[in-house]
Amino acid sequence: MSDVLSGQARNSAAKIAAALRSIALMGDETAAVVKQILAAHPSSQLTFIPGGVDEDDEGWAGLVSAFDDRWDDRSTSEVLRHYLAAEASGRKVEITSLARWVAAHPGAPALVAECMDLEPPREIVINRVLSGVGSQKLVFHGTWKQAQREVVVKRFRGAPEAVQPLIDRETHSHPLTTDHPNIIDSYVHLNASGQPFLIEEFLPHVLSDSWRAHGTQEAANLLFQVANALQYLHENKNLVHGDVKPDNIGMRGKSYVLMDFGICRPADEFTIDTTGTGSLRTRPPEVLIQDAYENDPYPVDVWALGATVFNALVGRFPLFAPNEVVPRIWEPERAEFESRLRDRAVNEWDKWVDLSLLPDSLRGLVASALEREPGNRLTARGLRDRAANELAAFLTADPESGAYRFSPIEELEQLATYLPRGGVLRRMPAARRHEVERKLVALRDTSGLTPEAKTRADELLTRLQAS
Amino acid sequence: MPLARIRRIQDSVHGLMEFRDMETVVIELLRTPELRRLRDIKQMGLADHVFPGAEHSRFVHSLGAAYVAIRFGHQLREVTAEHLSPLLRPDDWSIRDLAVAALCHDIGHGPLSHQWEREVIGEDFDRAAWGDSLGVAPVDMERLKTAKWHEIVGFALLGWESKDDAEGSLHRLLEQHEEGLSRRIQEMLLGDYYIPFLPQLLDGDVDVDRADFILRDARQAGVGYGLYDLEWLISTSTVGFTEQGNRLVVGFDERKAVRVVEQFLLARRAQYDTVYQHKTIRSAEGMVALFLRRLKHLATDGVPLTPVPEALRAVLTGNTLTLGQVIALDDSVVWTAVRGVASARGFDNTAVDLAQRLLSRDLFKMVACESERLGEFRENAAREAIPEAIKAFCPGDPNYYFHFDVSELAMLSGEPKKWAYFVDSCHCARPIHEHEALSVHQLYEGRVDGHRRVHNRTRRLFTLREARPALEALLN
Repeated sequence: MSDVLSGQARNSAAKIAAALRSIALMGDETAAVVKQILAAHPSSQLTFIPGGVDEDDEGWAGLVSAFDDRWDDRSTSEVLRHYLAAEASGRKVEITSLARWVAAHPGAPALVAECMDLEPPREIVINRVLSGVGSQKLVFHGTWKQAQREVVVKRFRGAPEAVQPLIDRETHSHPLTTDHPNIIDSYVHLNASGQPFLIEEFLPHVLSDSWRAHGTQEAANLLFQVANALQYLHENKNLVHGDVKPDNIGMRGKSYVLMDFGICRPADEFTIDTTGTGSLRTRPPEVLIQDAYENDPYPVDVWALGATVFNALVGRFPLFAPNEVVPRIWEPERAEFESRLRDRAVNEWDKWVDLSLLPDSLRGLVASALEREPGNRLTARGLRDRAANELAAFLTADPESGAYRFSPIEELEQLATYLPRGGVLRRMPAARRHEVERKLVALRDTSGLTPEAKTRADELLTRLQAS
Repeated sequence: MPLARIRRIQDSVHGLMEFRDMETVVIELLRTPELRRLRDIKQMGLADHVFPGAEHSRFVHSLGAAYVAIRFGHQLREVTAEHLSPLLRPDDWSIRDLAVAALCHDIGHGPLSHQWEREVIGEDFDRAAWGDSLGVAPVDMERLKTAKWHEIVGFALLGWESKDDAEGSLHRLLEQHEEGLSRRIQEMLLGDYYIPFLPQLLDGDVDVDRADFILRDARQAGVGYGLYDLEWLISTSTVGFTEQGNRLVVGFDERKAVRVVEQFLLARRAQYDTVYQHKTIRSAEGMVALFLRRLKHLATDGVPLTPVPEALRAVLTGNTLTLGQVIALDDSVVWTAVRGVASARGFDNTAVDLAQRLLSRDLFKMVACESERLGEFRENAAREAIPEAIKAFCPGDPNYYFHFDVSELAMLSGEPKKWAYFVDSCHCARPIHEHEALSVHQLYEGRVDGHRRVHNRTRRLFTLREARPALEALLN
């Protein structure tokens, strides 16, 4: 039996050797790395493979395919060198994972190296880097093995003494495992070395600056649902998100979900001594002007939400020109740009925050969120409640439970198309008929209904009563 | 009327069937004479001549169909929560109505359903006279102008108002539950209902009738062909919007249901090929048809049909029946006639001989001849030659000692309202015949009306065992 096994192992090693030689054809530098490996293990073909002969030869074949024509000699050799270094330091890198990372980051050895260097929690498999090379935080796409759910894995970079406060802040201020329909699901997991990772649900669709609301309904729901999340954060958790903007709002089915709590903190940590953080595009005037927070920082989030909705409808942020590029924080033009924004907020407010560009049904509410004076702004609760009342006709979330529902406008349109006519309606069970009538009256009397929708509701009631 | 909260019935196909709240009306309706009559009408006609286990009745099939209707109703209610207005989703009433309609879909069938309808009633029956006799208003007969006889009778039984307590129990019980319920069920069976897609489950390419009988008939016959995954079929059902956006239709999730819908279609086809169109069963059915045809011929000639039961005699002599008479009809009426004629001294030789052959299972045999050749033969009006060729072997009139059998199976209907659909993730519905992934398409022989629907047309000729060589010589 042992002879058979050793035969299989020899066969496997031969395939692995063939795979490596195939990769070596990439060029001289890659060939040199392969040679280096061989030189380090000259004695036996069976032992030259790091990890021994039990390696998966199919995994190696997959790696050969992953190094496609988007990889050149240099980048390939960098990946192999990093792999060897990892193995030499005693870290086990699975070849199937390496093949997946190589395929996910074509021509980018640094990103593959980030994946190799990460020791994720045991139950998580890393698929690719999402963002964060060079920043404080590395963000990966992964799979939660047991649940087979796609997740976002966040790890803080830097020396342990620098990382710890960041972790503390994020984990203490993050509304972890909050069961809220408009806040992202998230958990903290530890890896084998005890390092904490933030694991969030993966939302495949995230808004961006170029995201536009198709009609009033989408904008109304964005406003209501994110206000719903902010009201919860502000009142139940005493937290200020601090960075509300399109790219921090994802979609779970048809619901908007607030995410990225990296700046989120208890309200009392945003003080007059705290430097302004979060995106400039949605930074409120009081923070732009003072570069610090007022005593009451909650209105910061409300303005940022107003600015996000303004952009979704108008195509630019309130104090920005269309497609205006924000210089990076280390670029010399940054200071001048911030100064220009301050000038717009102080001297050209009406020109930039042009509320006439908004649709009638949303103008009043967005105006209340974009008040220049934070004290005059609606609170998140005020914004949510007014939206629940004034925009009821458009809302797809139940104002009480947050559960998904049909918006009255959608429902009326569907009923006008599909509700039968004549005798069929007449023969409906009496109780059902009363139910339909009650519902149609309620729909007709919904606040914020467009005149067309109101007419539709009246026609449906006539159809029912005439049957 | 207070209802029991839950009623349970054990079933050989569906296991423990539970009927809850309003749905328990189904169980109450089983006690009415209109439903009880179905206990004595076999679901598979004469199939037990070949498959002795296939003795189940239309009663148990109807109950099974009602249960499957409830299962579909609940599924469609749940699955539409996020894309249909609550006012367009099935509610408790409509699920109950769907079950009642499914329960009643066969109540109009006569004895040995198909032979009765073809030979005794005839395809060109006097609709107005029957409508009048059955108590169906002319305005309703207008709506039923293309309906088959059993559909008219079913409609009439649901609307049967009578002062006599022994009559109209089904109608009365429905009205006691809810005023107007019987009319709503009649309309639902005609395709009109306030949840507009539900009637599709009563009469369509994939409906609750077929969903039950394919499994039940296979199980009772003991064959392994007609099987499909009913649980999966139900769980993938949903409601979609047709391409034109003006109709809501029942469909099946195209990401999950392609193979189970295919399995369903193939299971039905397998049942037809191996059971319903089995040559021996078709032979027996043909002989019953000849027997009834002979009796009708005798009645037309004024021969007293003394050995034939009264109700059957009335129809054979060209009279229509009242609902009170219809309700007394079941398979036993035909078999009583067969037994009566078989032992009637001095009665017509041909009828007596056919009856004796039926009782002793001395069935006609199939003539060896290609289906196409038989088709040509019929078209060329050469069938007059057959009686001449076999008369030497016939104890009676040779016109009653052979029969052409044409079996046809439409895999998919040509009528749009009967189509089944696949529904995509955006709830757009597409007729299944447009779905290329359905490999069952390869099994169709031709296209009709632009749709792949005709699977097969098989022609066969049956005659006396001893006359067979003569016909084979004539045809080949």
